[in-house]
Amino acid sequence: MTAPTPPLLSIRDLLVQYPAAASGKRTLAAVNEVSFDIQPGSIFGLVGESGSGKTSLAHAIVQLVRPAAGKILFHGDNLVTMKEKELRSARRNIQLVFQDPLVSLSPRRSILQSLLEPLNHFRIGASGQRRSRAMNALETVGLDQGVQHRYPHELSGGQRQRAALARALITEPELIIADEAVSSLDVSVQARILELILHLREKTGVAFLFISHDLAVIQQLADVVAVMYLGKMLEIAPAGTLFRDAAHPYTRALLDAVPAPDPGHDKPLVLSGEPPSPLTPPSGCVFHTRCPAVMKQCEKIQPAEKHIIEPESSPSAHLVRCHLWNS
Amino acid sequence: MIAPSAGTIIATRRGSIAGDRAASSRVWSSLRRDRAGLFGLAIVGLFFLVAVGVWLGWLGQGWSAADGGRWESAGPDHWLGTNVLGQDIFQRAVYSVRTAFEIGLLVALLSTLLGALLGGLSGWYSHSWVDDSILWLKGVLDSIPFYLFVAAVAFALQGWPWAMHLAMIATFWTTTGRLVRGEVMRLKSREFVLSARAIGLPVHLILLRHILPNTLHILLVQATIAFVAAIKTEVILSFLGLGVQDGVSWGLMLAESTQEVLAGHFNNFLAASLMLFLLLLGFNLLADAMQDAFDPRQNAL
Amino acid sequence: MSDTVLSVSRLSVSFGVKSAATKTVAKVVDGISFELNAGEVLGLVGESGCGKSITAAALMGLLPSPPALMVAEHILLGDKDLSALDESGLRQVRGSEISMIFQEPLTALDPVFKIGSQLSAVIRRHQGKDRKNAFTTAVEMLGRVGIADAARIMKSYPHQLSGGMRQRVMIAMAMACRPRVLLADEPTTALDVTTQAQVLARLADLGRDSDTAILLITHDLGVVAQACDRALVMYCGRIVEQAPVAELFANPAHPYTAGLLAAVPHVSREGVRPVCAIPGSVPHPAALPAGCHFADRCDRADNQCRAHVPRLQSLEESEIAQPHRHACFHPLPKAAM
Repeated sequence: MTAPTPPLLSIRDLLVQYPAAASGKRTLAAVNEVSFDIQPGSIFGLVGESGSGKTSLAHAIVQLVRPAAGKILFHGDNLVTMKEKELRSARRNIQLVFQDPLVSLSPRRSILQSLLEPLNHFRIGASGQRRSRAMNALETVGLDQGVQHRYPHELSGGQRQRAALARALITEPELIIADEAVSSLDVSVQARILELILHLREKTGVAFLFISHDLAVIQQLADVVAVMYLGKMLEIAPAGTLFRDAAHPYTRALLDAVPAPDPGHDKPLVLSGEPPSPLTPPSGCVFHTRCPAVMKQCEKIQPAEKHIIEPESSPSAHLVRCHLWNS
Repeated sequence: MIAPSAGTIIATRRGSIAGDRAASSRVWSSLRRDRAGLFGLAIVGLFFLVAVGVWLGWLGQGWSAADGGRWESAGPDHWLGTNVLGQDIFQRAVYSVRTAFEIGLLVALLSTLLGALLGGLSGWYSHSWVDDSILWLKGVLDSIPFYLFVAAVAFALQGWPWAMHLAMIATFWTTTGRLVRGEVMRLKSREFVLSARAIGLPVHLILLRHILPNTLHILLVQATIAFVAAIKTEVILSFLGLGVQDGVSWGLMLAESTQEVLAGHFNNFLAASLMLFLLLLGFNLLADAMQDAFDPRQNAL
Repeated sequence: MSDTVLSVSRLSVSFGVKSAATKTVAKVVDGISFELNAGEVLGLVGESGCGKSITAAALMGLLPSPPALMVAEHILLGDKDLSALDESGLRQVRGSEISMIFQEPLTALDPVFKIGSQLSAVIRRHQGKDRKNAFTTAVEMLGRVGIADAARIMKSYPHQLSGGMRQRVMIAMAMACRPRVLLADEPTTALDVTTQAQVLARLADLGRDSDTAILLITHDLGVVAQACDRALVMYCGRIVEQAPVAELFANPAHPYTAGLLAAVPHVSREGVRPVCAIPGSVPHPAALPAGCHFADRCDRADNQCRAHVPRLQSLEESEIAQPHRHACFHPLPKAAM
């Protein structure tokens, strides 16, 4: 292979904390020492259940919350230490798409107004050309130009998510963070949005951080998949590797729990218990309270990150945090 | 439990039928179907035309001239007779429409604006010192009995013609403020506000473009309520002698009539209270219809 | 072996739709008929707006009327016709013979009462037990839905529990009186996958133990495949296909069913199996096309489909106990698999 390209986004030891309102001075670590890289033009799938910290991670990257520690390097520049003015170019290049486009598009502004807002804000293009840029963006996501004067509630769920994608694309970003972006859609519509995301990556070379609770959806898109649980990154691997040879017991349980649309498929292995509250995460390995392969050291010692595949040998390393692999 | 879910299924599909009509025209079309609301609108419109007529000097200009005899009964010269000073009751009742609209519009506009501003700030900076101090102010104002407060302001600023207006504006904003604060706190965590923040839009633009337009339904309804409350309050305050200082209003006419009714002269009393009743009825009908029209759930099915 | 416990015949639900000038009627459920057998789990699957949740609400007599208008030839639960019962008659039946659980148990549980008192209240009302017995039964029920520390849960308020725990409590409450029928409306949609697997397994066990027939309403074909014996596929208020689950997934006859199956992403060890979208979009319930509602999105449709409504009919070769039925003039041939 040729020399590795520098990553578009590098997260290093990221810590995002919230004050735990009810419990005085204690804090809740929504994202706890998370590190990973996103390559330009790739789709990075991030999977996790509720309370895993995946949305907090997304919000930290676009600086909606300020991390307590760690680095967010975009093209090598650390966003965490930047002032609002210096963030301007990063804000243009990283866009966010949410789960429910009905509430992610401003309800009393027409689609055109929503599309023009980032163009005006970042002063992209001459003001006379902005409208035609908006029309291009609509065309790119497969929407008719007629929707420009519509309001979000007048569109169908699929059209709204297309409009939200058009708004994210309009600044020609290098990274789009899609947080459960297809989760509220019906399967027949979801399939088309998945196709669209692949098409957009192909056409514009934009990278995606695609966050979802649904492994089946992640598999449709992702080049690299990361698994989060209670704020910790438990496993990162190239998609093919992860779905074939998942290393972490949690990833395996997650894969087994997805109900396969195939009655012949084995009944899922039932993982007992529910995730503990992020307010009181377990000691040692965060998964040890539910892990079918739990060992003595798991209760005390946090497992270190372990490379199963070294980064040199593949487009992305296979990393796991589990004592099973630390011998 | 099931009712809302049945409703939302339809509500989410409303869009495709609604076509490309903008939100405002949808409100108007809903209003147009409401007969009681239209009737209210007609009454209020008529009163407004009268008020404009008075402002332009076409109507009710003879309200202060004492050119009749004492307590004349209704006739071609004085349509509703005259009062104790020989002033024309009809002219006075008509001129009072202007007074009512002046007070109503001024108080409704300013108290709603104040409520939007303070409620908006308090909601956006919720649980900070800004929020705390606005809530404290609101708590203090709400805990003083209203008429006592107005009386205090009126006494303190005796002779100043705007004392009554000031007292009303200073107290009427609190309900609007509370409603706007709640709505802003709800909207603040909405994803369209997050996306505006994520592109780095400054706070004043976010409030102006994305938050305040979404509280418009509250503001409009609150403004109509404040309008009605202001007119009613004016009548009571003027009756008590704390209200309109120079000029004429239905409240002053009612105050005059207390002596007259005992003497068997009802014209002043009837004219003022009927006008007041009609305007308030019209406005309440209109306010109800507007409330329905702005409630998105009413439009769903 | 298959005793029918619930028999629904020609159930229709319509809503009046007010638009700017006109008042139209949207038929959200359009003359559906089906039977639910003792001890089985019947899936009712469809996309949002297809009428599946409205169907469940109609069966429970929970639709607000107006605006809803419900008509049925009969809804027989045993020998009672639910469609003929008045509100007080329905209240007798609800909870004891037919129960329902919802997608979001937080809104279905009363926030100001402890779990214990809500659960024992249900048991006391329908089984006439005294306070102490009801409490014991409640603890036992919580154990059966897989709650280990029942005593602690009994003393908790709904908001103190996780979503999975709340749904278990709802199931315990619904199953406390061993109803003959349980309507489960998207019971696991709001839960995480690992919790969903647990809750589905418990639900199936409980149904089998107390011989309760379950109508499992879901949009998730994975849930249908894992948890159901038979399934009904609904589109725009009509049942378009009905078959035992294995048969439905192997040989979908209706093009809509086939389209849905192709649109669902699978998790697969072997690599990505790309999904195919169904062209077009679901028509609005107030503006449904004549004939087959799916015709505009179907590549097999012809003039017959656009003019006439296809009736639910049996596939010729399936002369088994549980027939495979479809509502299509041009059903897909049996897959060569």
